[in-house]
Amino acid sequence: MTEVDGKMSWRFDVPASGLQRRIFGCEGLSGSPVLYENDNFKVPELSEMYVLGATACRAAPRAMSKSSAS
Amino acid sequence: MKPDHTYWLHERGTITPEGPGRWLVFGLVIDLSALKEAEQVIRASEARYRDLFEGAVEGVFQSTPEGRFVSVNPSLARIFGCATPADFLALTENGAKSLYVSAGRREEFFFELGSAIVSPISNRKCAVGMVA
Repeated sequence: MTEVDGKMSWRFDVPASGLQRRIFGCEGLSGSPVLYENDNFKVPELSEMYVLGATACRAAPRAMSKSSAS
Repeated sequence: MKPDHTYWLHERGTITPEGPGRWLVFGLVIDLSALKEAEQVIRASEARYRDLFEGAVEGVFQSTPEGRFVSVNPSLARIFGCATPADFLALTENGAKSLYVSAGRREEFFFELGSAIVSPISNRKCAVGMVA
């Protein structure tokens, strides 16, 4: 995931798996900007998941610098 | 993908900062659909049992072999003159023997149960102290 000018963008690389095939009907993803967005597949919590993911990523470097400072 | 099907997916991940504004996220997605469906079947079964238990006209109870009541339904509580199952459990906290007119009747009853004979209910006490 990258953040440019405050905008987070994802790039998903998903290996082929039985689950991927069963749900999305495809073998895998390479460099896709989305994971769960699909015309036939709706995730009610999707926007919340993006927010939580972005928040967790932004918090990660701070957590590392805290632990290194101690 | 099955149409109109709900999948329950559990997703977890670890985040590794790679530099300013760059993170590597390793995610794992687990399909919990079968587990969720099994839970729903169990919940429905429990709800059906509870409706049967709560709404039965007959008195129904669960007790330990030692005679401690574990649960009773509202009908059983009513039969013994109690307003609620909780009142009944409080009344019998020292064991089921307190409900019997004759001290040894409970053991006889369980012996008869083993012989598939149902004990008559006519000699049980009511909560109000009368003999039913």
